[in-house]
Parts: sequence; structure tokens; C-alpha cells
Amino acid sequence: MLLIHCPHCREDREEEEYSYSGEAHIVRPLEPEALSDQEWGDYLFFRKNPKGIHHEMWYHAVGCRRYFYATRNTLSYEILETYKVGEQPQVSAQGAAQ
Amino acid sequence: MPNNITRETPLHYFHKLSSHASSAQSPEIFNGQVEFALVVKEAPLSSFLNLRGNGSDKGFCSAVAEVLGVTVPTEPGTYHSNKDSSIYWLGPDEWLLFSCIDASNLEAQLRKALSGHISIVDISGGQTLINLRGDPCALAILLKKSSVYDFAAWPDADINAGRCAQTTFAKATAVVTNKADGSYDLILRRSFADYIAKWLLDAGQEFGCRIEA
Amino acid sequence: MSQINRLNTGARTDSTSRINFTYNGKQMQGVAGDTLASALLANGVNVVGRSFKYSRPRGIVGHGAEEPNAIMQIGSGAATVPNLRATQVELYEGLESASVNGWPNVNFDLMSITGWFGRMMPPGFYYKTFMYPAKLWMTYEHFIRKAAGLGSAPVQDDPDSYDKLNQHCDVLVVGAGPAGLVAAREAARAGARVIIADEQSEFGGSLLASINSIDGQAATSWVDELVAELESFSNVQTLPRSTAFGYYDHNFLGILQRRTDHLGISADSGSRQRLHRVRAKRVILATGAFERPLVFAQNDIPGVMQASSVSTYINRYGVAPGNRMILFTTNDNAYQTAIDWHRAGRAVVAVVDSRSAPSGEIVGSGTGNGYSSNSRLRSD
Ligand SMILES: [Zn+2]
Repeated sequence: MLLIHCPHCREDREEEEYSYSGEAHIVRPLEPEALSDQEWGDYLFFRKNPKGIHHEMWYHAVGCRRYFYATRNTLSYEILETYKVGEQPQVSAQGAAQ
Repeated sequence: MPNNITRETPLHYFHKLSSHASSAQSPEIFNGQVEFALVVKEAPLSSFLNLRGNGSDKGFCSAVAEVLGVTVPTEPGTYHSNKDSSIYWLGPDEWLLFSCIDASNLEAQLRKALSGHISIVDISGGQTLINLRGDPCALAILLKKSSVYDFAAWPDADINAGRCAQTTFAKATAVVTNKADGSYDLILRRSFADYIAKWLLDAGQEFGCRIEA
Repeated sequence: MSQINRLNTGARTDSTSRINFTYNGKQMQGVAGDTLASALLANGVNVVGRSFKYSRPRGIVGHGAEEPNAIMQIGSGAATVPNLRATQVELYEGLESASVNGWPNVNFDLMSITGWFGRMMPPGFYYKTFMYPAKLWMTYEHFIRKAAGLGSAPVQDDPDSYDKLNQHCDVLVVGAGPAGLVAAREAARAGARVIIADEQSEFGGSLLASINSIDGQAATSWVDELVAELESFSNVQTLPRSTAFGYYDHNFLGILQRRTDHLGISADSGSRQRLHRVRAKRVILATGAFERPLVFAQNDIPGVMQASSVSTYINRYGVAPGNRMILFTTNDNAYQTAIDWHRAGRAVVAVVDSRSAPSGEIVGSGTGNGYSSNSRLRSD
């Protein structure tokens, strides 16, 4: 059971209040019709699934009902930061490696 | 709408139940001597409106305050109230209005006062408010049984302001708020009201829990 | 049967307050503060179970969660509980207990014939030998299960209710021995929200069986004072009879609190057991240590007991589990047990030390105190 800080409620809340919404920062192509099947398939279905630092989207389903981002270590389950949609992460896999 | 339809709160029948059926004759007595430590009471039919808008827009906030006489709480997890109405923070651009002013009347007043990118939805038919009061220790344990939220971390409420949280409650969800008198208000969905009220009776059984009409 | 091994010196028992209980149908008496194990030892019960394969007799080895042998069926009817350790069951008036293995009973065990002759189940027998052909396994299993014994589950509906609480705190202390108690006190004095949990019926841990002094007062009264201070804080929750069983992500812990088991009655109001789901900002594990038993031939026969357990039975419960003792040790600590045994008025026959030249303060103090030097043996 994780304890996740909601950047909107500004509180640590239990995991059962949230639902997981997959990888963060995936940008919808501006012109889908211009993509090849391979590119469209990559956008729709293929995810990084890294071992270690991962930026992901969470939904505060029974709290403020807002989406936000979290940087989580998928190995240790440590949550390094949470931030609002539109903001950029302070912690990255490259940064952590240095 | 025909005039002969009786409007009832979701838990209008609930005062007939208590955690100790055999003591129904003397509802103040629990286990022969101790008073019921917990009391559940449903508020009479009231108005609930869901309001969305820009909380950092001074015009929006002052217009709402003008209509309700209550300032809009912009701090997460807080509410403001006066004797007629309360405004609960639900999200960064979303509030729940609770009022004894007639819902359609209130909605019309708000629509007149507000402009721009806003949303007002009358959700009166889908909600109810119940008050939980009693022995502070029993109340604290009842809340710990029911929710993963840490209500004990809240500071005491003032007469017209306090904390609120939308969280899990008895495997359903509720908006829970603290009051200046040490009691708690729960705002529930109508469809879960019967279930949650029965949960409260069961969870409060060890202290004695009764329903006040 | 009378309490032949009862002393009047137990720090945490009241020998004037008698408690009646039954063991395998026999009426016995213990005293307030006893566990089932200490009461059985007081009554001179040596054999409490039988081993799985060879049906060898088993006696009480430990005094807490580490006890491997004294596995009991407690209570009867709908509220019966199988497979509790006698060392963890608090005695209450009317407690019914029975050993879970041994057939027809632990003292006359037909199955132990296998131990004497080794024909039906030769040494090294592996019980799955009986699994083939698969069709016959069900038949074999019936008798093998009876031979091993795993207690029996109640067949009626459970009369009790169970509940859970979601707890939050700044500091969770697991274990209320000297380290845990002091940690909780310091956190509480600093104003932190504290939960302190211990699986035993009362706080104090190893100090409950200690005859040493702390800050110039007896260890047990030092514990009493500290616990009273902890209970005076409104920001402290004390949870005795509560076992922390899991430590999960982000300082989430599960604690099972046994609320009415020690009363022996179904709770007429509230729950029998309560699950605390604790989210803590900081966790202090002060769980203490188990004694590691020594390995030697026949170390499983009744009468072989951990040194720390012997001291605990004497000092905490006022029970000397036997008359003549041989102490086998690899360290200085265990010499305290020889001293305790001597103080209990029993004979220390020998101290066997695996070291060639033991020479600690406590080793020397035993010479004039617990036993004569010429009775000290050494393995070399
Ligand atoms: Zn939130």
C-alpha cells in the first residue's frame, strides 16, 4: 500500500483513494492521419515500462478527482515527487544516474 | 409536478433502528446504565449544488460570497459556512454548496451573479448530510474503522470554518467535515446512504449508537 | 495434581489468586499472571506433544513466540481455537486446553511404537512416500494426520466479531522491552503521536523476568513506572497483546490485537480481535532477540529447555521447571540461569561450558553463589 502525495489536495493520501493511469507525458500526435501504422501503434500501445525511475499518471479518484504526475522508482516503490499536469519532473532517470 | 408527492430524505425511516434493538423502549439507555455514546442524525431536506469556476478570479469569488454570504474557501480541504449555507472545497476549481435556501432559487441567483467559464449543477436529489456526534474517543474510533483518512490530524474547527475531505468511507465515499462542537458532518450519496447508516450502527455498536429523528 | 514446581517468588504472578483450568481433561490450578505453559510446568507436566514423524515425546522448550512444541487446542465448542502456543496463552478461570497431537494421548502414544522399533516408519521416512498410488493417499493421510495432529477447527459458526482500525502516527514502536519503552517515552515527551505495540500481555519484555536493577530500582518497578508515564500521555496509544505481523511499503504495518482471548469469553460488545492498519511516519523495531538453542544429540527430549526460558519461568512466573539442572552454555549470559536456579532452591548439578577457559564477572560470581566449583564440568 503506497502513500501518495496529491499536489492538489496537498496531503499524503492512501493508495486506495487513487487509480493508476499509466505512463506520463505521452503526447497525442497532432496529425494522426499523417502517421504510419507503426508510429500510430507505438503511440497507442507501446510503453517504456522501465526498471527504476518512471514518470506516471495517477488519478485521485475519491479525493479531488484530478489527474497528476508522479516520479516513482519501480524497483523500490519510492515516490520521489508528484507534480501537476503541465509541470515538468525535477527528478529524471538520467539525473538519478549521475 | 403533482403537488401530492411527498419529498423525503434518504434516511427518513432510519430513526426506527438502533444498534440495540431491545433497548428501543428506552432509547437513552444502553447496557442498562450507560447512555448511547454515539448519535447519528440526518439533516432535513436541503440543497446541494456543485459549483465549478476559477478560484483565483476575484470577481467569481466575490459574486459567490455576495449570493451565499460565505467566502469561497481556496485552501485545499477546507470549508466556510454561516448559519444557512456551507461551501466545501472539493478540488482546485470545484466546490460543493450546501444550503437551506431552495436549490432552484439559489441556482438562479448564482447564474445571475456569475459569468464566464463556470458550471453549476443541482445535485440535491443525490445527496444527504448526516451528523455524527458523541463521546470524542468513540467518535475517533468510529472514524478509524470507517476511513483510511487521518481525521485526528485536523485542528479543531471554528464556528464558521473547518476542514473537509472527500475520501473513502465504509468502502463507499463521503465528504467528511469537522464542526466547532466536535461533531462531524458526512455528506453521502443517496444510493449509499442506507448502507453507510447501517455500517455506522454496526461499527458503533460497541459504544451504543442510536439514530435521532 | 498440585503445583509441585510453584515458587512464591514470581515477579508477575500472584500466588494467592488461584485459577482453575483443565489440561487433556484433568483439573489443574495455576495462578493469576500465568501463561498456560507456566501453569503446566508448575503442575509438573513434562510431555505436551508428540513429534510429527516418530511420535517422540516433546516438552516445553521456550517461553514465548519461539515455542515449537507446546501447541494446544484451547476452549471448546464454537469458540475453540486450534494450534495456539501454550507459552502465549494467558491463563483464565475455566480454560480448557488439550495437546493437539498424540493418539490416543500424549502420555500413552500408540504411535510412539514407531519410535521404539522404527519399523512402520523407519528413520528418514518421508511422509510423501505414502502418496503413491495416489488413490490410497486419502486413506494414508487420515492416519498420518492423526499421528501428527494439527488440532481441529470449530464446526459451528464463529460467535465473535472482528474489526479493523486505520491508524496514523508519527512514531510506531514495535516491541515494549527496555529499548522500545524508552524510545516511546522520548517520542511522547517530544509531542509525537506514538503507538507502541507488544505481543505479550504486559509491557516490559525481557525486564519482566529480570532480577537486575535499573536506575537504582528493580527492573520490574522501573517498567511499571515507565508504562504508567506512557499511559498518561494523550498522544500515546499502548497496544498490549498486539502482534505486528507485516511491514509493507511506505511504513505501512499490520498489527493484530487480541482483545478478549485472555478473558476466555466471547465479547458481548465489540470485537474479539482487531486489525490495526498503521501508517507511521517513523518505525522503530525493538523486537528483541530469541535465544538460539544448542545442537546436540537428544536435544529434543522433554526437560531440555532454553536457559533464558528457565530464568523467565523462575523470575517472572515463579515456577522452577524441575529439580536438578545441568546447564550447557557457550557464553557468560547463561550463568545467570544457574544463579536463578540456585536461588530457587534447586540443585545445579553441573555447568558445561564449550569454552576452554570461561572467565566473566558472572561466571566467577556463580562459584560462591549458585554451585560449587568442583561441580563445574567442561566439555574439553
Ligand atoms: Zn487530490
